[in-house]
Amino acid sequence: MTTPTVYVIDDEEPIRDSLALLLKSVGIASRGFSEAREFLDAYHPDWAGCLLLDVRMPHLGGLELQQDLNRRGVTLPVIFMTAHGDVSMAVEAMRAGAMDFLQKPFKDDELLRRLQAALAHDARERERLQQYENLRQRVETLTPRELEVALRIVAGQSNKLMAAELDLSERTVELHRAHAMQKLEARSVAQLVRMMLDVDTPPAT
Amino acid sequence: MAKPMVATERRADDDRFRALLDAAVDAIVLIDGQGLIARFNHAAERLFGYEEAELQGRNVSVLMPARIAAEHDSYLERYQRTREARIIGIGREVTGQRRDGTQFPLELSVGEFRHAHETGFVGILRDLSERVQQREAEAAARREIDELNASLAHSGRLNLLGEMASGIAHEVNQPITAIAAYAGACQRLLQSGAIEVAELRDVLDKIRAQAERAGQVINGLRVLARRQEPVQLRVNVNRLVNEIARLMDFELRASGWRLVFDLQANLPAVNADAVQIQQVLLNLVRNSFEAMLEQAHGDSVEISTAAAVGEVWIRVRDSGPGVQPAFRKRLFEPFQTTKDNGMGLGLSICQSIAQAHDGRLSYVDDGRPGACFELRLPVASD
Repeated sequence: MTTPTVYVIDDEEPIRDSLALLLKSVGIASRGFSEAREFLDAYHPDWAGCLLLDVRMPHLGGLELQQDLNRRGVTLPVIFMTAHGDVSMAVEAMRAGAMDFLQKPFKDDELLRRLQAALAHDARERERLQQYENLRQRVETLTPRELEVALRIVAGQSNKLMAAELDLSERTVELHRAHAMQKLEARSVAQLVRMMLDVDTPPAT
Repeated sequence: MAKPMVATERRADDDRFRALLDAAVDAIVLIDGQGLIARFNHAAERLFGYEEAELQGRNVSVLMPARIAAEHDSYLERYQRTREARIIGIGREVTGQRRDGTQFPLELSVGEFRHAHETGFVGILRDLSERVQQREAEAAARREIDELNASLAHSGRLNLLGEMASGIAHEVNQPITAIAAYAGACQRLLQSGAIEVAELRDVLDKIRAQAERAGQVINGLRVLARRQEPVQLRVNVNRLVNEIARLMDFELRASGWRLVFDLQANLPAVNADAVQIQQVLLNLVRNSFEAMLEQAHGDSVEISTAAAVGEVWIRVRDSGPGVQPAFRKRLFEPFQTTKDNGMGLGLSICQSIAQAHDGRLSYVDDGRPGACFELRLPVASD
């Protein structure tokens, strides 16, 4: 994963330049793009951080970009910058999934606070995604029998019932169960249940 | 026998003379050397509202407003003495006074006659009331047209302002946003000691440039909004053109249209009202974009400037299909338009602005594609 970065998309060079310096002053990496298209062309799914977008841009505007990002499954949080009088645009942006919006001109503290919130949000999301991915990979290492036993545990079946229904000895069921817990790194039955439920519900993107 | 004969002939002469006087359309008044009325024809009776009989033997000053009447005897006396004509044989516009006291303008020509020892004057008077009224009406109409033009020009500006209001907010917000961010960054970097003097100086330069940019937007707005008498100053045409570009910057970027420039360096200055000339240019550029939009043809407008002998010209050329030859000669006439929502006043106002600058606005057909308008302005004398 790359360094969390604020991707600034604004057609005005002075805006990109000044925001880059402001972000640098608080140790946040940033990268500027003069057009939405330029960002989309460069975009890599590894990118972490957030987007700071001017809502009014020639060609591909901020709102269209947001819709494009949604279609591509890009999860970077988006903060819109709007000029005075663009409230309707801002509303639309929020509806389209923007995390926040700021009216130009804004206070630098305010901008940094919101950007930090967006970066933290992205980091949390990425962490959650990572954990899910790890769990999913662990679940995939289970043999069909181990998976069967794990699912029946979630359904609340006793070892005895499982042994009867699967036509196994109780001892074998216990063995599958121990292997499953070991592979999933679950320290208790409760934890195993929780993991099996989690892996069933992938994080929303 | 001779005597009555003479008397009869005299009476016959007199009758003919009277008939002649009364047949005249103009009022005719005869006075003697002392200014006493001898004859007063029908037209004069109608004009002044007096009967001849009641005026005969009275001083002609009765037909004049008091301030002139008081002087009239001395005029006559001076003329008798010096023979210096002020009105006799010259004719002039004077004010008359009717019986009811109302005053009116009239054209008066005076001739002198001498018969034996008798001296007298004949005055022919023509009522000018209607002509003066007409003249005043014309002047009023002209004033009204001027006012209308001025208010149209002004509302054109205001309208322009309305359209541009959000653009201008954007234009001012951008530099202010940049300034705030630069300043905030510097404060933080200074606090952590992470900025070199050279870098700081560099950022301060950028801040100043952005502040100037915001100031220019505001100035442009102020100049545009002010409704002022034409103030003709020495101006550089290229500067005016560049300001237009800035005023339209947001619109252009929002629409994706392009404004391209071909400006000749070191143009001689012209005497012009910068706002008015910019208004002409803005109008031409907008017309161009509107025309291209309507025709769905072309997306760029070129503004070029150059010096000619004693003149500077500015051309605004679009990349659309051009103006139909049939419409070209009516282009600058008021209320002629090809636009669906146009009043057809833009170019005619532009033309009158050009003319007020001793310049001219014309449609140029030089064989290149696109409609091209040219504004020529005389070079300022030193």
